Amino acid sequence: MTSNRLNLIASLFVLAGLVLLVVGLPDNRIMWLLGLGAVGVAMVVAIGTRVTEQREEEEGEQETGQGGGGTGEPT
Amino acid sequence: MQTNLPVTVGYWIAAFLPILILLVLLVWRRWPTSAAAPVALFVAVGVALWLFRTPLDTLAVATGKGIWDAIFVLYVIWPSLLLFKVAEDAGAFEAIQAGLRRLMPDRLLVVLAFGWVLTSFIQGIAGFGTPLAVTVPLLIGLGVKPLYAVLLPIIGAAWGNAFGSLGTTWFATQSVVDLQNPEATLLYAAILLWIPNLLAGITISWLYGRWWGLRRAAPAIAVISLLHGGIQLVLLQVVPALATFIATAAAFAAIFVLNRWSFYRQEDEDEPNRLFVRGAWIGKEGEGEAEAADAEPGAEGRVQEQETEQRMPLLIAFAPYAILAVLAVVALLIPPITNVLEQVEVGLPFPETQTGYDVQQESVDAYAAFTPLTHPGTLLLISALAGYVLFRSRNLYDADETPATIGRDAAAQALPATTAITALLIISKVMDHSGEITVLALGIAAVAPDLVYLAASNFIGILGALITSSNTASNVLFAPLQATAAEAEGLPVSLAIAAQTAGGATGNALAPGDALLGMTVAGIPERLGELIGRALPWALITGILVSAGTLIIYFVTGGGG
Repeated sequence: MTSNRLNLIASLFVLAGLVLLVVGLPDNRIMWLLGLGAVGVAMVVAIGTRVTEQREEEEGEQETGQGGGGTGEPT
Repeated sequence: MQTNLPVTVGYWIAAFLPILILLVLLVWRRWPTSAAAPVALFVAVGVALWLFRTPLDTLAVATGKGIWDAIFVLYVIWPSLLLFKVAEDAGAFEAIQAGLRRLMPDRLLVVLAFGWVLTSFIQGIAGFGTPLAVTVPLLIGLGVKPLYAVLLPIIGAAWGNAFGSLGTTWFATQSVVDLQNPEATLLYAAILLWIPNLLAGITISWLYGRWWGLRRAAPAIAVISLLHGGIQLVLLQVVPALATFIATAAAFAAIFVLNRWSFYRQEDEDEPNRLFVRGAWIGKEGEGEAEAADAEPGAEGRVQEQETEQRMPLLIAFAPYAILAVLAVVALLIPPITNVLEQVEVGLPFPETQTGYDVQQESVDAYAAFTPLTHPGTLLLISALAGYVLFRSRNLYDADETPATIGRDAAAQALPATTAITALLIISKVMDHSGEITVLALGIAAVAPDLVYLAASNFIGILGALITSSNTASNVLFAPLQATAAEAEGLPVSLAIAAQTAGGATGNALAPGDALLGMTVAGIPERLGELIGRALPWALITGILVSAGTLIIYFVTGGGG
C-alpha cells in the first residue's frame, strides 16, 4: 500500500465523517458517533503514512544506489 | 469570557502539549505533517476529554467545523497545484525564467520582486494561501531552491495578513471587540506592522547574500518598505479594506522603476549564490562552479533562451497568472460584480456546545460560510483551465500530456496535504471548543504584570496564528480576551488589539496550514519541520521588536489611549 493510497483512504474517511457529523449532529447520536469514529479511523490511517513513506524512501534509495540525499543547501 | 476553567500551571502545560508534540515531531523528529498532525490531534482530544471536561458531542461539533475549515483551505491547494502542473508541463516556467532574465537582469531584485512585493500584492487582494500558491511555483521556476521558494514569500507576505484580503481580518476583529477608539488601533497596528514588513525585506536580502545582499538591496528595501508601510499607515485611517492593496500595488509599480535604475544593472563578480539551484537561475550566466566549467555560458545559452522564448513568449507563459490577477481584481474589487457573485454562499449548520467548565459556543446556521464564486480556489481553477486551453491551442504539451495525467500529478501532490491540513484544523477547533486555547492565553495574562502583558500581547497573536494558521482566526479567538485583560490591567485596549493584530500577522510565517500549502506546491511537504525551524527565528526576532515597539508607543503616547 503506497502512502498516497493511504492518504486517499484517510481523505475518504474524513469526508464520510463530515457527512455523518453534519447529518447526525442535531439529534442522531449514533450517526455523529459514527462520524467521529470515521474521522478517528482516518487519522490512524494517516499516521500509517509515516511507515509507508519510510519504506518508499528506502526503496527509492536502493533504486538510485545512493544513501542519504539532501540538497546541500546552506543554512 | 465567562468560564470556570482552571488556570493553573498543570492545565496550562496540558493545554500546550498538543502544540509541543506537533512541533517536536515536525521540527525535531522530522515526521511528515500527515502523520505528525494526527498524533497531536489525538493528544488534544485526550486532554480535552480527560482534563477539560469536554463532552463527545462538543468534540463532534469541533471536528465537523475543523473539517469544514480544511475544505476551505484545500479548495486553494488543489486548484493551485493544478495551475502549477498546467504551467509546468507546458514549459511555462522555463519561458518565464528566460523572459525575466532579459527584462530584469538583477536576480536579487527578482527575488525581492517575487518573494516580497508580488506575494504582498496578492495578499492584499486574496489571502488564504493564495500568495504562496502563486509565488512558490514562480520562484521555483526561476531556479530558487524549493525550501527558500516557500520561506521567502511566507515571510514576505506575513505583514500583509493583518489588512490584506481586503481587510477581512480587521472587520472580523471589529465584529468580536467593541473598540472605543478604532482610529488609534489602526494607527498603532500600522506602525507595528511596519516592523515585520521591514524585517521581511532585510531577511530576504540577508538570505540571498548575507552582507553583500543587504548592501545591494538597501535602496530597494528602503523604497519598497516606505511604500508598503507608509501608504498603509496613511490609508488605514481612510479605507482600511483597500490600504494594503493600494500600498502593495504602488510597491509593485516601483519594482519596475527600480529595475531601470543603473544601480541594479551592475555586474558584480563577488555576487554570492545561496538561494538558486546550480545551473538553473536568472540574472548572470554560467553559474554553478562544476557546471560552469563545462558549460559554454555565453552564446550557446543565449541561443537556448531565444528558442525557449520563441516557443513560448513571456506574456504567454505568464498568461495563467495574469488571468488569475485580473479575475481576482474583477471578482473582489468591483462592488457590483462582487455583490452578485457573493449571492451564492455555502456554510454548514452546527448546534451549540458546552463543556463541564462552561466553555460555550453558540449554534450557527451557516458556519464559516464562504462564497464559492469569489473564493480563490475558483479563481485558480478558472486560471488553470484557461491556461490549459491556451497552452494546448499553441501545441505546447507533449502527446502523452492530457488533462487526466496533469490532474493525476496534481492529486498525487495534494493528497498528503489533504489529511495533514484536515488534522491541523481539527486540532485548532478542538483546542478552541474545549477551552485549551483560552487557558493558554489566560495563563499568560495571569502571570504577567501589566506592562509585561502588554509586551507579550503580540506573542499571544503569534501563538493564535501558529495554532489556527490564520491571522483572522487568531484575532477572533484572542482579541476579546486581549481587550478584557487590557481593561482589567488598566492598559489601552487599542494598543493591545494592535499588538495582537501585528502578532497574528507575524505568526502567519509559522502557520502550519499555509506553510504546508507552500511546501506541497514546492513538492517537499515532508520538509515542513525544516521550514518552520527556519521561519521560527524570524518570527521570534520580529515578535521581540514588535513588543519593544508596543512599549515605545505606550510611553510616547503617555499610556496609549
